[in-house]
Amino acid sequence: MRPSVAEERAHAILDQLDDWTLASEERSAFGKRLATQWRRNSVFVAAAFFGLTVFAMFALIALCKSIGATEFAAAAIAIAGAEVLIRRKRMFGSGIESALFIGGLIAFIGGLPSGNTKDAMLVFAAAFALAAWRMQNAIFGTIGAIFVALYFSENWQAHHDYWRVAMVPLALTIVAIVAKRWIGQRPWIDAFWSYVAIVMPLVAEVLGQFATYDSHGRIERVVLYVVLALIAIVAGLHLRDHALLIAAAVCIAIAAFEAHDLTELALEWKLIAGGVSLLAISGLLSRALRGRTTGFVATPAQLTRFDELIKLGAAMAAQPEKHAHAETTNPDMAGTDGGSGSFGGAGASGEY
Amino acid sequence: MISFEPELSDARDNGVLTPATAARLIALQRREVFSLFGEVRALAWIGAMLAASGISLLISNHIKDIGVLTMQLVLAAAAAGCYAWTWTRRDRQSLVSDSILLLGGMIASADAGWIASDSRILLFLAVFHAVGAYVYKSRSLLSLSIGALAGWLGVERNLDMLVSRNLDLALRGFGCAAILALWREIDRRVRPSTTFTPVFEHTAITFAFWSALIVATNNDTASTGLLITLILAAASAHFAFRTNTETFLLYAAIYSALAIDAWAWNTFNTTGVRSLVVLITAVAVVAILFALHRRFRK
Repeated sequence: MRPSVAEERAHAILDQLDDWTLASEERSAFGKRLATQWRRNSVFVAAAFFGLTVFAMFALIALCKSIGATEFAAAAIAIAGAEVLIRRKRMFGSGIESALFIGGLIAFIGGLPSGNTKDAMLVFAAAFALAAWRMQNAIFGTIGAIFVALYFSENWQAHHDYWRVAMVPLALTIVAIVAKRWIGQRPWIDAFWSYVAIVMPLVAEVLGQFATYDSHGRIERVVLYVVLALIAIVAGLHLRDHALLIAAAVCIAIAAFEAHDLTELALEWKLIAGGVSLLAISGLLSRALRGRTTGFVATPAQLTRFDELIKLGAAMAAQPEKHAHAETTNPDMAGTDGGSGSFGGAGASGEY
Repeated sequence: MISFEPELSDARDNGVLTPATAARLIALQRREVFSLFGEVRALAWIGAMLAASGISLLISNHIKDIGVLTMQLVLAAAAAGCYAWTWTRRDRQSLVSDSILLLGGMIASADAGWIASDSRILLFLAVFHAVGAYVYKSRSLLSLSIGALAGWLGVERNLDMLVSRNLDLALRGFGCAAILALWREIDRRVRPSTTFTPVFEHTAITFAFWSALIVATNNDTASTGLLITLILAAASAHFAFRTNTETFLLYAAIYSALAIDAWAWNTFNTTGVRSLVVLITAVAVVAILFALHRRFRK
């Protein structure tokens, strides 16, 4: 028992209804028309419930172990609880049932006898895949895909070959970009491919770096990620899909990281040049889109509901920290080697 | 790709949506109108943060080569340039102005750090950015101002502070929260159309709860910390219902659970009892929150 395609689509529309410009009567009438039997929460509230329930799961496992019951008992209680909430209370997308379900599966795996790490990766991948299917949860599916990539990485790590280890996540990225072309019915499947396209280039880079024990940049990798970024940009602009444009940005960031020691330029100049370039590009785009009403526009809309919060938080955290009564050794050379310590500002408080 | 055109057409045909509204929303589903607002704003913001980080590194690595006075003058000119650029475009729609202004503010912070290392410079920065925030009506500059104020009071802004058990830090955190609450009230009374209120509210309650948790995680003051957290949680929940802002209800629930668990951890010695208390707390908080959440939505 889980939401039908029509119900899931109704939920997806309800999730974005607040972002659409509608008259209040239209919003209310449309909301009532889309109402389903399922009890759901907004993303933020569901995340809070998920966190609290995961907390309870840890305590349940610890309690079961302390009284002589195994992790299997905790797993059975959690999964049964999740199914009761879904079937009896019609809870789907509340954050509680999904935390119980995945928590139960992980507790079950925790109770299994310790085997080798490689097989464990596949078991975790299967658990997250099962949870993704049962809960219609794209994030669980993406974590499952990461475990698949980890499984192959564990198998091939002994070769210390970047390309061999990065092959699977890179292939998954390509598959995800192609899959976005398909017109699907289930919103969670579409979200799954979006997340895979965004995350997998990063997984490829991290696993590749770990496998080679080498943080030096390579020109062939720079070329690869630039090409991948171009593919994602072209696909994103053609399909007009935000996720593919974000995936392109991730690929460009990885290419920039790989290129970091290919030139003699000092890091500070690279950062300044990169920052000024991004500001210039965004300024040009802003100017080009100004006044447009069809096609590509710059109509205010939020990438996520929390982007403002993230930006303000980051700006606040970037301010310098200093104890009100901190002493300085040489006020005339504040911040230099002979001066004070933790002062920086400008985004990177420095422990000089 | 997902498209909700069938649902929108159905709603139009049944008179739920007017034809004009449905046509506009269907155009969005067909991507005939595609907004790059988020992408452009994100690019500008990342650009500003990268440039600010580069400037910070430049200062620390080359201050001796360039000279303090020269560096100060260059930074002051750069910051003034950012402020002036934003000022000249204040009447135009621009997606990058806010990021340029933020960059200017951060450069000004870095510059001030080289003028004097005394902690009073942070107070100066708090005032300077606050004035900028009001002149430019910028929440980004307000965030810089609050960050500088917290820095002046010696309040750390990282997760490590939660387990620091430093009561002096907790007191400073409470002080910062009180100042922000007062500032919010004055701002609301003087400027009824202010957009700064949510920034003050979320920051003040976060500082207050974090400070209460510091007290709760300290072995000697665990009970006092729990009591303070529960009082704050009650106030936060009341505020949530009064202002119809659900986030404050979540703050109340999550921080209460953490404080109770910290208290249990400090009070009991056996794993079984500790786990039982944590389990009961988590289940109770989820149940209470779920019940309140349903009432809240009505």
